[in-house]
Amino acid sequence: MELSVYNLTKDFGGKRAVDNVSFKLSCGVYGLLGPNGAGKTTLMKMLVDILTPSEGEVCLNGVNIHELGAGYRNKLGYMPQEIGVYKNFSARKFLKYIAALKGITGKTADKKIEDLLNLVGLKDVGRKKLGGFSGGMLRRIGIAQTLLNDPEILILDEPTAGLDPQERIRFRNIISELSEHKIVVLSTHIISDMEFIAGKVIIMRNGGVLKIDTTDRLLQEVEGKVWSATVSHSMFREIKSQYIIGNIIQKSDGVEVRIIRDKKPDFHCEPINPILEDVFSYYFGGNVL
Amino acid sequence: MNTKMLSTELYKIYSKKVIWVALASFLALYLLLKLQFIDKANVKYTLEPMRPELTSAVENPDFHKLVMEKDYNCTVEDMKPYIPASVFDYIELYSKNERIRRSLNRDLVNIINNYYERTDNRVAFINELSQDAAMSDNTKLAKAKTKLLQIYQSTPVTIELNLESSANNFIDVNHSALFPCVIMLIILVGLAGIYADEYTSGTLSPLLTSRQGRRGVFFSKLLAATIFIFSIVLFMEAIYMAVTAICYHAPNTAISAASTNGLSLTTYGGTVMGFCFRQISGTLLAAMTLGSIVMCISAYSKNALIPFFIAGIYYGSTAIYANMITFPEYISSIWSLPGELSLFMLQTQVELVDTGHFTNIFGLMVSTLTVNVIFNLILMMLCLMICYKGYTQKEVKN
Repeated sequence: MELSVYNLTKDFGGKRAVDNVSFKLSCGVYGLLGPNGAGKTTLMKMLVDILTPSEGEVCLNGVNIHELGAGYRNKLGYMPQEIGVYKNFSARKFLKYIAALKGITGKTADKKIEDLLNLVGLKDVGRKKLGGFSGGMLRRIGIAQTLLNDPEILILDEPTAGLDPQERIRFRNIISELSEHKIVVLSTHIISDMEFIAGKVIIMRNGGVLKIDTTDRLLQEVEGKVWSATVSHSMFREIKSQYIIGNIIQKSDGVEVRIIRDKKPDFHCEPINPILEDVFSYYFGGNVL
Repeated sequence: MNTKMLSTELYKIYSKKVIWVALASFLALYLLLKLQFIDKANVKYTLEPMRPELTSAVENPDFHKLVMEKDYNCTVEDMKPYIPASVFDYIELYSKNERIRRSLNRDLVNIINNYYERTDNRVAFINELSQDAAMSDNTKLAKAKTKLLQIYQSTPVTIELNLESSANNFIDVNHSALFPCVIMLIILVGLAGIYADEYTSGTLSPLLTSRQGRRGVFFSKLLAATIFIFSIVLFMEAIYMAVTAICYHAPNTAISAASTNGLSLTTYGGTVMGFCFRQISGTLLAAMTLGSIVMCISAYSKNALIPFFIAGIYYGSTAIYANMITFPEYISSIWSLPGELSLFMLQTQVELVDTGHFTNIFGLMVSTLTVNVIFNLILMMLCLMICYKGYTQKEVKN
């Protein structure tokens, strides 16, 4: 199975949100990485055909997804950034409706819903109205509705936002278990989630794809470029505008900083093993994640 | 589309509390106003049991001549020689209640005077049309009059005695603004958010990326909307018919529509109940058309208020206009058409069939009611097509 993107472009008025993007995805988990406004959500919307490209096309096994229509949507599971629900529906009622939209009805739907509610830890609140759900619970409902039709292609936009650490770990494990023989594209600002489950990372900036590579190779790129140092507060104030700072920890004897730089800084520091966040900082600079 | 999708779409519409609050409030007010009439003398006690006797009496040409000579202002004393004693015996049954006796006597006088007046007016009107048609003038007015004469001649109508008020009231409920407008208000409330609410609730993405897709969702919503419209119209009409029957008695189903107040010159040749069912059919079509308009706007809106107000303003303004203007005789004008083609006119139909109303279409005189039906059918289909196009090309931009 191959999901291909050819020269995909999307303009909103005078603003280009996605700029001439091309890549091919086969089975595996792909992390979509980029700062706010990089075009990740727009790209994902075009991958699931709820946004029409200004130019280019998305194909599954060589056939345009728009032409495939229901055939493509049957294989698709999409979890948007903002989970929309009907507040006066119970969790079960909502999932039954989504299942019906996906062509799953009757006892098959009931069993599937029960299994998914169990999987996401919401079995006990199946009859509760969605209006009373917390943000994390709604996101878990979002995950459940995405998996209803056992999709072969999973497009997940910020799937773990609002989940507590335990829920995030559970979600990562679900995705890892399910990702065999599937194409999974997920975008998240929680880079540690991506680091644990994504085999490849697609880095986006200003609407374009900067890089597509495995997490190992991306980490190799910044190998020897990540430094750790403990500096005084006054020195920290000096260096923070001069270097890319990946992390800051206040300590009793100063400030421990994580610096991303091609060459060793001019003050005492030690090289450390890079993490995926360092890759982000390397490409996008600054302390913002 | 499957039954679960349809049932859920219906649930989304019917679960709007505002529909039930509005419905319950209106029905409570309606019952409060209407049930006051139950014990009114002129409603509870009528001359309907004396129909055979009175029908026989009015067939007397001498009686007719007398009433004409008295300029349709005969008194009870004038009528006594021509009305069977059994009628007065019936009225005397209520001699112990002066209010009822006076009401029945008043009804007797009014009904018979009106009966002759309406019958004579209709005959005189048709004769006048015959004379005008004989002049063979080829103007639009002449064509309209000729067409009207043809209708009168092909649809013979018998005006009968209208012995109780229920027949008028059965027609009047869809004629006064209250019921027709409330039905449309509930349609608007129920359907304004049918597409727009998906945007507001953020559920567009799961709907559009599902296997059923845009088309499946569109048709399930359309079917649910149709069921909703039919259920509301039929429920409201059934309520009004039941309440009217309770308050004013069930009408004599065989009485012609021309026998009621205001329809003596009508081109409609059927009975009161037949006309009521035409009004119900008209209300169904009007509701479907308004439903299509509001759904069409909803498909392009991010908020249910926009389709509600735009469709509501369309219905309200054309209804108000239709009630404000005086429709021209015979031929509709460019100024009267917005009122005559309104949805409100399709619901009530009284002003369109009380006499001849024609629209000149390339020299052809077509009944304005027919033009109204065709216009609104086209409007409905157009709105549904635009709605389909808009929804099936829908994008989720933000």
